Amino acid sequence: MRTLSLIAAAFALTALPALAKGPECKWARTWEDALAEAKARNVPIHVTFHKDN
Amino acid sequence: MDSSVYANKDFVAASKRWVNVYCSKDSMHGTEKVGDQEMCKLHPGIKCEDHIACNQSAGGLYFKGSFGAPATVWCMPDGKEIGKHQGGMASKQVIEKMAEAEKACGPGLDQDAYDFLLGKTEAGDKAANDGKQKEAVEAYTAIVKTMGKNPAAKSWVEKAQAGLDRQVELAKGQIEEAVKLKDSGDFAKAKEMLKAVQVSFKGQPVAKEADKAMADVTAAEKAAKK
Repeated sequence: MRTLSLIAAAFALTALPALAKGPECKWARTWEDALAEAKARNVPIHVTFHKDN
Repeated sequence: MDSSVYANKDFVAASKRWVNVYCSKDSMHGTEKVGDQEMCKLHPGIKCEDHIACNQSAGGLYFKGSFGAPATVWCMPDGKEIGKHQGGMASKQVIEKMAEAEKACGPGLDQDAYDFLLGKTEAGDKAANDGKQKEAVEAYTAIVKTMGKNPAAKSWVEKAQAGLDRQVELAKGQIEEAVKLKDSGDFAKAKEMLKAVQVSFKGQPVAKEADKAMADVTAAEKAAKK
């Protein structure tokens, strides 16, 4: 029983954060890909700039 | 914004109406294994080298010198800037700004429609090149039927219609060939050719031409047996 609880706790610590990550918006791989796809679809481009804290 | 905006379900749904580019020169956040690939830990759909390269390509286009991050730019399909904002934004604000950009662009294809068109066009072209008539007709017909009334898909629908027209021309050639085979008494081969057209073009006008030719072949076969 104790072993099972330990396995469940280990699963919660490792797997659940990954499962909790929901779907995200799709990001272009390159700037050139973004321009080509935006042109083919005739849609605007959303560009976002970030830095690590 | 990484967790508050880009994973927000309303934002994810709305973001299918644009192309999204994530730019960051940093990689201290690390990677995580997805399949056999090391992907960005913040955004596992891309690699850190992808957002570093995007930062190099796009950074200088919209900001001169150093600038505060996060920063957001919304632009036309050719990359021409419509507007920008330095500092954090809520998902609702980004959606509003992108909606303004959509108005400036006119009718566009959302991600699902684009993926559908890309997949069906590639499948249709490949099947046509490989001589797989039924698959080619199915792929091109799916585009014409599903996207025929979508103004943003006009050029895709025109290409699919042209592909379909080429297949119809080939089918008409097959019917002519079948008639020649009938006249020479090779009824089995004639029927085989016509059956292929009937199956590939089920429900389309050229299939009716094949039906009529098939009836002629059957009648000629009966007459020959008498």
